[in-house]
Amino acid sequence: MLSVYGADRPGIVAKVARIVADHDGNITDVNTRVIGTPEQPVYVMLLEVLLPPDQEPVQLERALEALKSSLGVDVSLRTIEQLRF
Amino acid sequence: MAVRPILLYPDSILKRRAAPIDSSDPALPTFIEDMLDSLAASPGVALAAPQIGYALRLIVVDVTRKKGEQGHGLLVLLNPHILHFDSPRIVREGCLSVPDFTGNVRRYDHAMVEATTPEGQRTVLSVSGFEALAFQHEIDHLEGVLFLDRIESLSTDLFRRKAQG
Repeated sequence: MLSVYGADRPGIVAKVARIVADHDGNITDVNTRVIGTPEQPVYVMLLEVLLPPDQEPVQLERALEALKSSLGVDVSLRTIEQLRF
Repeated sequence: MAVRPILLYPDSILKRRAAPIDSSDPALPTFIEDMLDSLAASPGVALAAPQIGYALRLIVVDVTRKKGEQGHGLLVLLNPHILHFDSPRIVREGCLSVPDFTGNVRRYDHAMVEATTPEGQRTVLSVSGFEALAFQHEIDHLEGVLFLDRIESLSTDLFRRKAQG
C-alpha cells in the first residue's frame, strides 16, 4: 500500500506511476482526493501495488524517496501481509 | 502565555522525525508552557511539539478535556514510546494538523507507554480506550507519521469532517 500526498501540482500521478513501472510493479488499485483547504489544497493518492516475488519493496521505497524532494510530496509504503486459510 | 498556531500539513516539520529532549534542557519550561497554552486554546485533547513548530519528542495529553472521558488527567511527557499494545480496532480519527478530514485507522485499545517526566523521572503508564488512542496518535507525530499514512482506502477510509453545530 503506497500513500503519496503533498501540495497539489501537475505530474504527481505520472512520476509515481513511472517509478512503480520501473520496478515491475503492477498498480492494482488507485484512488485520489484533494483535501486540505482552498488556500492550500493537498493532493492525496493511495495505490495498491503488486510487486513480483523477486522485487524487494525496499528498492521501490528508495526510488520513491527521491520524489520527496523533486515533487515536494510525502510518501509511505507499507506491506500488506497476505494470509491464506 | 504563548499560544502558538497549530501547524497544518504540508508544513514539513510535521513529516520529520522529532529529536529527543532532555529534562535538563534550559528551554524545556518554555516549550512546556507553550504546549499547555496552545492545547488550552485548541479544541483538541492532546498535542505533539512538532504541531506547534518544535521538532522535539514532547507531548501533552489530557483526555478529560473531552466531556465524559476519564484517564490520567493532564500529562506532560518527554520522549514517549510504546512498549506494548494490544486489542486492535479500527477507529475514525482526526488531527488538528489535517483539518476538515477524518480517517479510519487501525489503533490499539490498550498500550503501555514509557516516557520521562519534566522532572526527569522515568515513568511507565498503562493507558486504555480513548486515552490509548490519543497516545498512539501523538507518538505518531513524533515519528512524522500522519493518519494519512495509515489509511488504506481514500474511498472507504477518508471522510470530510461533519460541520460543527
